[in-house]
Amino acid sequence: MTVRIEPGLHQSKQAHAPLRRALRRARTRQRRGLMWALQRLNLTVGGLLIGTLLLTALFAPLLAVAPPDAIAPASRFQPPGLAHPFGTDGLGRDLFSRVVYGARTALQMAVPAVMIGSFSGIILGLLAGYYCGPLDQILSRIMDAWLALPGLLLAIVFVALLGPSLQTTVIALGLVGIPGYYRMVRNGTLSTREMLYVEAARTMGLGDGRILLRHILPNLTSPLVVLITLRLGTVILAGGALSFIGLGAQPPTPEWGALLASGRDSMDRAWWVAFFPGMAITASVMGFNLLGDGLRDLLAPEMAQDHRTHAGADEDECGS
Amino acid sequence: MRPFRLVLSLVVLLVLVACGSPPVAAPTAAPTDAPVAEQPATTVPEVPAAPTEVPTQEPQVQPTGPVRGGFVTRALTTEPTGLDPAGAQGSGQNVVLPYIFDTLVAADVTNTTQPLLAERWDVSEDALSIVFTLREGITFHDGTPLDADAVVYSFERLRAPESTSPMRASLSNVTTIEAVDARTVRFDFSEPSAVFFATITSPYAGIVSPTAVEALGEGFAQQPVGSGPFKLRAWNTGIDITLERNEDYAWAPPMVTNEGAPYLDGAIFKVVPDASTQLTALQAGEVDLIFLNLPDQITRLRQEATINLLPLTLNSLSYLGFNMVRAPFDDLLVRQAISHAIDKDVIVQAAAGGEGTPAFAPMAVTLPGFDPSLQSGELAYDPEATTTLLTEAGFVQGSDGSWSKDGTPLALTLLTFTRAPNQDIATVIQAQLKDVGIPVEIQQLDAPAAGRQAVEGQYDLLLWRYDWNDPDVLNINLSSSRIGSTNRVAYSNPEVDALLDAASRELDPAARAQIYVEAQRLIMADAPWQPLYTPVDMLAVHGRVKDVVLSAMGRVLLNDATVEE
Repeated sequence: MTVRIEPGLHQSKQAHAPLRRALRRARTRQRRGLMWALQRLNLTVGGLLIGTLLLTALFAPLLAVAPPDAIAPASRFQPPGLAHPFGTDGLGRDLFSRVVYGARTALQMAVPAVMIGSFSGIILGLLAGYYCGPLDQILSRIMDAWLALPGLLLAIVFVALLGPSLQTTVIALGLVGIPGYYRMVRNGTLSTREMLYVEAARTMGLGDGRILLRHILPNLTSPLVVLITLRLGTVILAGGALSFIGLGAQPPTPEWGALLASGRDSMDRAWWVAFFPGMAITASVMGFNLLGDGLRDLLAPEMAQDHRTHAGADEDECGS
Repeated sequence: MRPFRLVLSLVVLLVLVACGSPPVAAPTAAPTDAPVAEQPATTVPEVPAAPTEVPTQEPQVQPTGPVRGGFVTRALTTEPTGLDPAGAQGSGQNVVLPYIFDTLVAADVTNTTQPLLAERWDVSEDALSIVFTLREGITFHDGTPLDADAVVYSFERLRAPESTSPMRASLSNVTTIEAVDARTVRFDFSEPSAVFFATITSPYAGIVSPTAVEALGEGFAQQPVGSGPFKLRAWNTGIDITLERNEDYAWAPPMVTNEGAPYLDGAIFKVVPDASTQLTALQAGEVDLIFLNLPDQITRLRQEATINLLPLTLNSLSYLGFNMVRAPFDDLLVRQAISHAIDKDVIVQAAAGGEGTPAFAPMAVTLPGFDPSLQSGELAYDPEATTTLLTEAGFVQGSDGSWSKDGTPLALTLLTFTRAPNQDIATVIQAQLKDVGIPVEIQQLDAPAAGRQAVEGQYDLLLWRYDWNDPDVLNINLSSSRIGSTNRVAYSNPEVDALLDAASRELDPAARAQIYVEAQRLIMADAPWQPLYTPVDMLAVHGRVKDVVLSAMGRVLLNDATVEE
């Protein structure tokens, strides 16, 4: 909202006092907005990066200069130029188009994976934190054991069992994420269930389901939003890793990790094949991390230095 | 702002890049189609005619003679599980065994049999008996004399009922092996065998020291004792295998000029599983020899002055096989239709980087029995024929271009093993079949897993490759007697079986080749395979190593080799 001042306006200060005030207000607001954005640099940069990612994924067919799978033996390993902004790969496919469509693949992988993980983690966490007792004991031990295993390794095991494909990757990465949500929600529920308003709700005879979903869960929204945002970045990276080793998206799906792998062998004579997909991964993972950090500062400053310390406060034991 | 997480993501990304993996490359010997990996030998172009002096066995070096000393290092993609010729076979063993063990006879560049342990061999008139006369004075590394009994011992070990060696099948028509006297061994056959010499020149037919085998038992695979130009010095599992010069060696085959002990102090085989790492190590001078099969690596190394590239004759063929016993490829029309949809020129240009030539016959071009006239039977690229043939086979094309028959859509799985450039070839085939309206799902597994799945028939299309030194390769891959083992497409044609069988007994080379041509005409009419192209494989040798001699199936003789420090 830029307001242009006509040169002549300054001449008679008296007459235009209200306008000047309005102007000053506008400028201040503008400055304040800018300051706000600058103070929350991570939120702004993260938002921009993720916004770009979303728009790229949404408008991939419009942005792509060629079909992502079109093989052209005559134009193998073309360097970046006008015809091919990011160059071409070993089969002559346009890398820009593949990277652009890769944004779709990344989101198709990350969003359902995070949905699977968060949904299961939240449900289990609510139940364990609210009912405590043997249920909590069993679930928490399982989740601890789960968490002790490296996530990527678990994902590889899942993929080995189910066969490599994009769907398997989504399921594997979703399952791997469950303990993170579980611990956060379980600990949050544990501390909330003793609160007066919850007890009041209970006294009023509200059902457990209603209490959990209407009174306890909303309390956990902010940390959950932060965790989910951060997880999206992690999942994109892990999905890229799986595809990189050939266990994720299968050819010819344009997937950044797979593109990166395909460029590895030609790195010294066709740097662009690995470079651009690598940048795409970096930018989106960074974007989600910055956005997550920014959201935490904004929504859940109590999440202290690291969301893990909060989520991982496992010392809270069930009182009863 | 949390710089820590930023740094972390970057580090993870770098680690990702650094620890890349199989889909991209898995070089070294292909999963060869069968036990043995064989012959042909090529001499390195720049190998000098002959050193002016035959080096003495003394360690002193004449000023003009070859320089003694030094080690040559070769990268191994797969570490051998053991170094017993009668044990498990694999690309690692294939490389290392020939240095430790000698075979009765060797094969040279032209696949001609050359003397090695045997200085002479006589084939009887009816070809049912072959007598080998051994050289005098040969000893194993442990001092045991290598005599006729040792030869008999080694072969009886291979064909013993409890033997797990695939050589057992190859020796099945040998009735008796007898030590006539200390230097004479006679093999008797139930029927003539045209593949016998290919069998006994394989590294898996190396002659072992009976004393060592008896003494060590199972441990022999870790402490092999043979009569080869090098002997085992140290084996650091997972890292390297070091061989040292056999000072007593004096029976080198005629392919090399140095009949005595090698000039090198030894050879080191370093385990480097990744192709790009091997290439980097070669460029850095950390290894001297690597096997190259990635077209782009070949192109790149062509420009390097310090590295010599030696083309290997592995008699290979890359082909697309059809699952003959399962719909839709139990129908000849569908096999023909799909064959016509494949543009081999694009495969060679795009996937193989122009390294290689389109193929049309099941026999590798370098093997006897290949015939240019077979091209008339080729199912060449012709997408219109695909449409016609599919329609004829009862398929209906929908408005979106996809095909279906009786409501079942035509969608295929393509199985291959992770070895570059298989993924690229598979991707090109996938794109070409998509062009004619057939979706293809690519399944890429490591070689043993892919092999198992192929034998179980769990695929529609099979992208495979063979490397073999004898035209008998058709028997191995397409005879109905091999269904369930090496005939992965389950092709069965009694007429072809009979021809291939006859060819394996025909000892006249010209007549034998003619039978193979005839068999190929029948095979091509049945279209169990669509031959794709003849791959190019190279041995890259660092410039500091001189006088490397290539032999059978890309084997490398180091008897003449010297290194500059």
